[in-house]
Amino acid sequence: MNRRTRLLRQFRQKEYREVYVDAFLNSYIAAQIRALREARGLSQSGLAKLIGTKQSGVSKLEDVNYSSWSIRTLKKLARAFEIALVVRFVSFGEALADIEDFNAKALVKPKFAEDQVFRSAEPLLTSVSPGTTAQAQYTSLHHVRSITSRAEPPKHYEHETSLGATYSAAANPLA
Amino acid sequence: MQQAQLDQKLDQLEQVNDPALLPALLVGTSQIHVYKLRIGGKIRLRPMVCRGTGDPKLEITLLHPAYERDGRLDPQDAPERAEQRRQEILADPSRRKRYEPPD
Repeated sequence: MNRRTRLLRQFRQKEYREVYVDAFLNSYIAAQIRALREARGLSQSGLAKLIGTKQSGVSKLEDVNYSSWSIRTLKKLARAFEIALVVRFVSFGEALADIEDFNAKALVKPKFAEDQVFRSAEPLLTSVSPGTTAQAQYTSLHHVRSITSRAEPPKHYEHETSLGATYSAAANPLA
Repeated sequence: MQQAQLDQKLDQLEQVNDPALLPALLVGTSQIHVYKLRIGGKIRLRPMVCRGTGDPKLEITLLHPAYERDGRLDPQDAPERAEQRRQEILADPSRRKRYEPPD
């Protein structure tokens, strides 16, 4: 029986799925902190300095059985690694997909300066000059958004455009 | 629900193929080839395992059950018993079988 089939069966038990997902979360966070730290070339002491704790504190955070981390600490780590922290509730079905996708490569995320989404958008963003009319900037932003997310622009852009507002580069919501 | 905790750790070990990526999961014992698999929870499961005995990069063998309470293993000689079993498996690999979690 493969892992997915087994977990689909076992997750029908409430306690099993709750414990399994909880253990997965703890392991995932510990493994990701370790992987990110090593990818950034940081020692435990080096990371500890960045987040204002001791080396032993980082060692605890990298323990796959540790479960007492706080959102505040995770936010500090995200800043230290120059990445975003996203915390959200998901269905057990979504959690199962994350469990199946777990692998070493997926743990390491690029820091902002190396983030391909922003690197590839850079020429478009730097071509927008201060004082550009809303229509022009809307077009540029829409172009960037279609590259980065392939999503339709949110309604408020259309609304602001119709009002003929002028954006400055500093007001660029993607900057 | 110890079974869920054990399954989760074993699944993850299988997925990464490298215990070093799961910090503090495998910890050494008095026996050089025997590790304790650290599994959290109220009752701390510490099954004794070894890398291999086939491909040490791809396989882990569960050798002997154990718990840990207040820093003490139960049974206390779990690493020695595990090493004994490892030797038995090395002598007769057919004694090993693929682990299937119970339903």
